[in-house]
Amino acid sequence: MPKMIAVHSYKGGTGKSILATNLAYIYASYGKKVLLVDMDFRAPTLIVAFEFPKVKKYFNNYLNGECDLEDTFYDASHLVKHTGGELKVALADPSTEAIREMLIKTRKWEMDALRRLFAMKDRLFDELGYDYCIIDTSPGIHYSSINAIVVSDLALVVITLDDSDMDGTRRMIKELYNIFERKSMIVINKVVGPEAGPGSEKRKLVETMQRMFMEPIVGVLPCVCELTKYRRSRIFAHHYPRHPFTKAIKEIAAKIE
Amino acid sequence: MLAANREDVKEILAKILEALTRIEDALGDLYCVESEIRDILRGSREKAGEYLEAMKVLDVVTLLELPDHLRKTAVALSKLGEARAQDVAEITGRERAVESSYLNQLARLGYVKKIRRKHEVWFKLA
Repeated sequence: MPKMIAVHSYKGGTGKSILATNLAYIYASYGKKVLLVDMDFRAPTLIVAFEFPKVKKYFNNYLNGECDLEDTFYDASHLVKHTGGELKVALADPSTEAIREMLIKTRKWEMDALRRLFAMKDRLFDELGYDYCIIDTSPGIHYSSINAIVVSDLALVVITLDDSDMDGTRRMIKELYNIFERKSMIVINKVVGPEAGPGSEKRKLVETMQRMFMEPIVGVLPCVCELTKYRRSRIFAHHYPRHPFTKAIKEIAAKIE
Repeated sequence: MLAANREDVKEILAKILEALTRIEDALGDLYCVESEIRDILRGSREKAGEYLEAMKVLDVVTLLELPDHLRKTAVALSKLGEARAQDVAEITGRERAVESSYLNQLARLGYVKKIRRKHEVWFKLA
């Protein structure tokens, strides 16, 4: 069954974009038809990861009603050639002007944007035959991220073991996801020491977190401090398919499939 | 004997629900007429536009503030843009009469506009 997944977090810098990008890549490499959408309008990142030579239309333009949905798609299927999969990417406009413009949108605009997101979901799954749509959202409680969560089938929340992050995430689950009856799953990122390993420490961590959040923990990602040093690190699973980090994301992909 | 009584009570309750739905629909119709009269009184098209602008916006922050039962209806209407009670009921899985009542409540609160088209009542976002 097709699925729209909003990758979200309470705080910034939790590794949301890396997870969203690699999850999209992994599903596409399994032969699925995938759309990855950058809805982090305040800090667009996917444009750097994919380096498309010429971008004419951004996802902002679709939400503004200035173009068709497919006009914003850029093809990254060459990354998954020979797998039968398809990977398209819709980018957020990284220009300062566009970021500023998104900050001052009216409530009426946000309401129309929500309707356009619902229309996008119908078009992707009912007409264009997509299997997955993965949305990289802005951290915290902002219009664009709430809109993305409302239309999605699943909120995949990325947390770190930072106290304020965990406390904020707990409130966000209670005061946002539960209110919209949105199913959520949690990924713990940047875990160091034995808790990231295969032993009992990791199991204990998962059990503790599951009790704390009352939601399934679908992944524990090790802290890969050298991650940003890797060239083209955003599509990590493509360049480093055997790395433990890639393996951990593949496990997450299998759990939420 | 008890079983028979239970059936009677069930039947009475069903009739009450039916009557309440009719009352709710009638109240909704009155609101619709009142709203249309107000539009006419406002005269020019420009004024009607201003009136629509003044309608409350059903964005996600408003959705968060709504009571649970109305939120479900409002999310369904956000998806459809404009719809009849039965269209909303198909999404929420609740009875048409229930959705009709909730849509009328949203109209009274000023979040949606009620429009009569031939013999059907449609609800539309601002």
